[in-house]
Amino acid sequence: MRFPWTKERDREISIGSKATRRHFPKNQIRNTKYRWWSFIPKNLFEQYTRFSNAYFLIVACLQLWSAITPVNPITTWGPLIFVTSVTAVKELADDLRRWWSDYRANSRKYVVYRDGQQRSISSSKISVGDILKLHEEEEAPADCIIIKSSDTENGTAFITTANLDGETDLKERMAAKPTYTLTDAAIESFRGVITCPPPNDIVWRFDGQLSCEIAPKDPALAPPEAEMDSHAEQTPNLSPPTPLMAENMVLQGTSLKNTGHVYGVVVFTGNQTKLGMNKRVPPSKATKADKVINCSAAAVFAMQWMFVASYSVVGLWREYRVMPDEWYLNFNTDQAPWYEPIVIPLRFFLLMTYCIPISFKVTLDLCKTIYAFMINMDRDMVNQKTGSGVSAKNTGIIEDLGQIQHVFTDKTGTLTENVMVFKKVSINGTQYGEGVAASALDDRTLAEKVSAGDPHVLWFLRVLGLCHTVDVDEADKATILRGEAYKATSPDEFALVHAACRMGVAFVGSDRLTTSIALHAGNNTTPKVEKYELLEVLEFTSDRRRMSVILRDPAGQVILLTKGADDIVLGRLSRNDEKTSRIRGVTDRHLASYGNTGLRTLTIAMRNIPAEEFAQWRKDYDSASTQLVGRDRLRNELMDMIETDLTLLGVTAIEDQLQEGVPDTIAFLRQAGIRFWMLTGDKLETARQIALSCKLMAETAAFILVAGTNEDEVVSSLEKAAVTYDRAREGGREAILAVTGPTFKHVEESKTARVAFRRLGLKCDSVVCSRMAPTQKAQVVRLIKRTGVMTLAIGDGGNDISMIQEAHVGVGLEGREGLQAARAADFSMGGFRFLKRLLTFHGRYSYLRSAWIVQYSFYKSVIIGVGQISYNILAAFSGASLMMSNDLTLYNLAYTFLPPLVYTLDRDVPALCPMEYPELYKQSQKSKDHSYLTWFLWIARGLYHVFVIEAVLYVVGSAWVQSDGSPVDKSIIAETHIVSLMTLQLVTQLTDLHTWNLVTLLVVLLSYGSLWAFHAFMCVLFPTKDLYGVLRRTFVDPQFWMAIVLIVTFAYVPIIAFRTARQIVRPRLSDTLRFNNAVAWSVGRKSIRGM
Amino acid sequence: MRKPFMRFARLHKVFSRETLFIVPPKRSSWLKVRLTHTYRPTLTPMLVLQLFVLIGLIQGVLGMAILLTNIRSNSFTVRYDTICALGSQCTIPVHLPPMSKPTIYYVIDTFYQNHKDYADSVSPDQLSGRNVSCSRLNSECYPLRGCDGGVCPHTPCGLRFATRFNDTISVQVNGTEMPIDASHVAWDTDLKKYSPSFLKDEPEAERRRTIAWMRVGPFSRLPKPYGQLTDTISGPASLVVDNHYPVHMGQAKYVTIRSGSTTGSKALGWSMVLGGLVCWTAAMAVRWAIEHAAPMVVA
Repeated sequence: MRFPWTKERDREISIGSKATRRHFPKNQIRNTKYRWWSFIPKNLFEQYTRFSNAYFLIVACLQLWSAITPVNPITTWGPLIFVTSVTAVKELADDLRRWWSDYRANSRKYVVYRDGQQRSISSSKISVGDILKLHEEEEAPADCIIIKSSDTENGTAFITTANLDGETDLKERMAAKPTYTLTDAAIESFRGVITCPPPNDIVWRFDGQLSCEIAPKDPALAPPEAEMDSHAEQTPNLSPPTPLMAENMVLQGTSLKNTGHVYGVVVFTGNQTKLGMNKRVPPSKATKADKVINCSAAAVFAMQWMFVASYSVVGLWREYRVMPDEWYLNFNTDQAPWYEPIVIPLRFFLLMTYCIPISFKVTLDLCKTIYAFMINMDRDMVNQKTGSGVSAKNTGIIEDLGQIQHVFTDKTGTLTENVMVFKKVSINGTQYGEGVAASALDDRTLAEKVSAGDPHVLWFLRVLGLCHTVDVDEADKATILRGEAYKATSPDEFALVHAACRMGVAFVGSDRLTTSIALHAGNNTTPKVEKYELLEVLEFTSDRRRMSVILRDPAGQVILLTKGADDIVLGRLSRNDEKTSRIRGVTDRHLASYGNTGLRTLTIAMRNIPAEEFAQWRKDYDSASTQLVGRDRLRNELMDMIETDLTLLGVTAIEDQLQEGVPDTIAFLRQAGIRFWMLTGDKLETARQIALSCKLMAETAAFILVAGTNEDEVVSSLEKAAVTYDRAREGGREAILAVTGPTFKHVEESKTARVAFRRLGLKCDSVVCSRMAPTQKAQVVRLIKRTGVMTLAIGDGGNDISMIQEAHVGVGLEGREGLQAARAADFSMGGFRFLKRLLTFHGRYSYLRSAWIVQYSFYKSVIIGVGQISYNILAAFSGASLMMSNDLTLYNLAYTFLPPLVYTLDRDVPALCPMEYPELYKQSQKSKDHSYLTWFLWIARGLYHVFVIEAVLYVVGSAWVQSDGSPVDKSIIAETHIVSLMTLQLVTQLTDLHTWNLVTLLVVLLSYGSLWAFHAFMCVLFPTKDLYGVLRRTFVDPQFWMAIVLIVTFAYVPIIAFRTARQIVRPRLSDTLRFNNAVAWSVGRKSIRGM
Repeated sequence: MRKPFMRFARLHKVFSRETLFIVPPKRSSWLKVRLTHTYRPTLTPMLVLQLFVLIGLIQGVLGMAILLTNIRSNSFTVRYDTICALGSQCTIPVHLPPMSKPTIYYVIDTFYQNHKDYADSVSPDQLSGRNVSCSRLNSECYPLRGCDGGVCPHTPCGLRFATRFNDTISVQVNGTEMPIDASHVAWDTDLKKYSPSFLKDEPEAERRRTIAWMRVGPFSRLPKPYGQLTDTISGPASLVVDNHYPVHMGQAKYVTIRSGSTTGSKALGWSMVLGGLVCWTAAMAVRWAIEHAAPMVVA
């Protein structure tokens, strides 16, 4: 019995055992948030644990108490139910979509073998320990260990992870070693035990063991006596364990390709698979404006309580001291119920609740959806070559795009195309393909040397042809020799293998044991195939930054071939090798010159390993591979051990061209006040060269390099850098800070260095960070983010994900390295150049629109809340409501619900301006339109408007005599109040909208018209209501209209005058552009008329 | 005014004819239809200046006109609760300005008819003649009881009705009582609103005055119409007041007789003039700013 809270220990999966099947959960995938029965309670609970909803629920409940409520409870219940149901319906739709995709996955049929019997069951019934038969093109329903593939010779199978990360290349998987030779029949009734760690989220790692049950009649699988270990002795019918690794595994969601079928043992099911464990809610990001909104809402809330408190004090004083004299009120303070003292404060509280807009979150979410729609539909941001547009995945933070201050960009694939073109090569101290445009592929000298069989050149090319992870498609020999059959995940590797092939050493294929190349250059028309025994592949990781293969060459010698980053490989060279020391100096010079022209370099080296050393190492390595704990660390140490004492062969240089429009985009965004940080794994010179060519820095810029091998050195280097910075600034030059990954490691470790680095980094025009590990990229972003500046990270590869998730806004490019970054990001797009439009056009507009919508929502609420309570100055502080309940309900739901939405179509300057005038971006970047100051001004505007309305109503209303001679009553004042209030809203909306089109005009006028329609309706049809007959009187009364004109004049003339004065005295660029546009427009019209 | 202060500078590209209108994505043709006709209403300083001048002018003229119509209006007010003891009938000699068909009002100063408890203490359904349950009457007419012991009263419940004004006012000239027409005292819509059985035993004038009383006054000074004199009145006259309605120390009761404009009061007239002045002041400020501003140039 396992309780949910007990931590699962290592799994022991007994294949074909009923106990195992029962013990682990079935393969039921459930991504839904709710069950059918839990939807209503859970959703309501979630909604009403949010502060604002809970608050309004309390208000609504208080309103049910008739003694205190100044208005009909429907005024709060209506909007509350509306808001709740909108949110609930949205959630329900999302969950139904998830349920449907789960349902489809769960009901897919699969063939499994249980107790030797074939069954076809739906995916959700599959359990741990089942043997699954997966056919070509089928998607794996759960995580399985392959025990046999249709390729009986090698046990290989190919899968594609297109559904997971968008990589379409085929990935090779291996069937488990002891079983791949078994017959299908034996597999179908196979029994054994798999030991593996409990489900975890590490995709690339699986440390398991497989022990087969030894059938007595099958002695082939009986273990040799020497290898029997203690574990096997205790359970004598099991074979000794063989390691299982990630390469034996087919993950849920991947599909089988180019392989007839595989048999797999299900190890993880349902939501416990690697994919399932990785499904988690991405870290939620709040916009910068959210903080301002929350603080300001809190301030409005506090203001509301101050109003309530002060009115309550006066109200209570009057109730107990003054009001008993007013005999007609029938006050009897002695017989008052016990709750009498809280009645008046509660009434004021209920009157003031309208200060917080109840539907504001719903409105804002809706607006953000509209922004996302506009972004997704924008044809100007579609990459015409690939057809991929910009997609806003995290609609919540679109406004942040208008406020970006620092952009952290990856280099390869982000600024550059990630199309690698093999350019230069330096072999044995000789450069080939000299000259800027020339390519080594066309170098005659090199071709001659290859055909002459120069051993240096040949070995160099052999390393290129043998040390890689490229696959060959099934094709005829000629195609392979032309280099047209290669498939690679990494564009670099593709370029290298392709180049080797062009130069005469063609990689022709590999299987699990061997790898072959064909020498086909020169006069010998029949290619000479060399077959190498593949002993070990020491794979590339971003930490190791090198890759090696260990082979046994046809002559029987064990060799290690390495290619990797310059600093790593150069550091592992042999110190006493004659050849290496001879060419080291000249190769270094070549490396530097390649870097200076922006080429990506790799260093190629090899080593002959003595047979006995390799045998010992192999033993250690194999035993490390079966370890369940610390396997990676041990293996890394062993790899380091064998990859030493290398002989330098040469250097390759690959060109990666800049993406279309990158320099212009960067230059424009820099003018817009955005600072760029380039974070790359490449080396410093390359990074610098790219920075120059993409206008991240000027030719004349001061390039300030921070370097050091320990904390103290780094700190003093930073101090020096600060001096250099000052001098550059005095000279009026740009200052570019540069740091490398190894140095940044020390920066990150010391607090003083961190602070100094941050200070300098924020001041400099651009920062270039080279040789950065993926985690360091995220560290840099975190370091800068902490100072409160808005950050955006953009990248294309899996190594940029941490940085993308760390930054305020993460942008992923759909690049050649798959869709991983694009999937993890808040926005995905098809090219770096679209960043310009995304930020300056959509970001800026969205920011301005939301700023208005949010502040307007609060303004319109404050004006009504404060208006309601202020009337009590004239109504004996009794908690009376001036407005009718119907108007209060409809105010948020109908009269003013749509105008904020149409503001999503507003453009403060013509559509071309944001892309023409970089300075415009600074306005939103500096939060000019949504700050505490603007909030204060908006709220102050609301309070002022309340004052104007109340004052005019009092002055005009006191002396107001209607045409039949009767003075006005409260309903006429209320009517004048709501009409003038709504007219003010109309004026606010129309003067703040910068663009009028049919939609906006229609909606704004409709929302104003809905007031009139409703009042006309009430005036005629409902005799018992207060509004009956009111509009009929006011409509024909000139005093009513003049009161409204007066209110609008007093309320808006000073505001527009101040705004105009500000625009004249301190014009913003947007003001000037607007004015010029207006003049241009009228001039244009006149000229057309004249024609 | 003077020549435009804005200068063109390298704007031909941005503000050419085509770019004045938004050209939306081709795919979304439904957007195109509506968005192409976009107008940018720009409140340029010059336009603001002109608008202010114009609005100010209109308001000033309107305000003056209202003030002019008020020149011929006259009114007369006398406080009677201090002159006349409660429960007695008094004759108050007055000297009236010339007024044509004036309306008589009674005014109670500081009467909080808009107090929440007071204003809400009424059952509209009962007034319109519907059957209302006892418990609902009790809750609607709080703090008074709607009905006791389950017996619904014939008279309407609630404070508004219970405390209705019951002084009578009449005007005598040379000892003859002037006829007072109370037919316009109540709103015609209110007459439809109330059931015919409401106060059917009392005189029609009294019924209408009560219906007018039931309308909640918006401010603490509570004027209510009493009736209209059908004739012109001028010079010495006497007001005959039956003083029944109790007032406390802080309250005052007046009779006001008023004739004249119903298109707007003096307060409204002066407010409009003030509004006009505000516009013109703002216009002058904007003009000053325009003349002293540096030209705006887009770099």
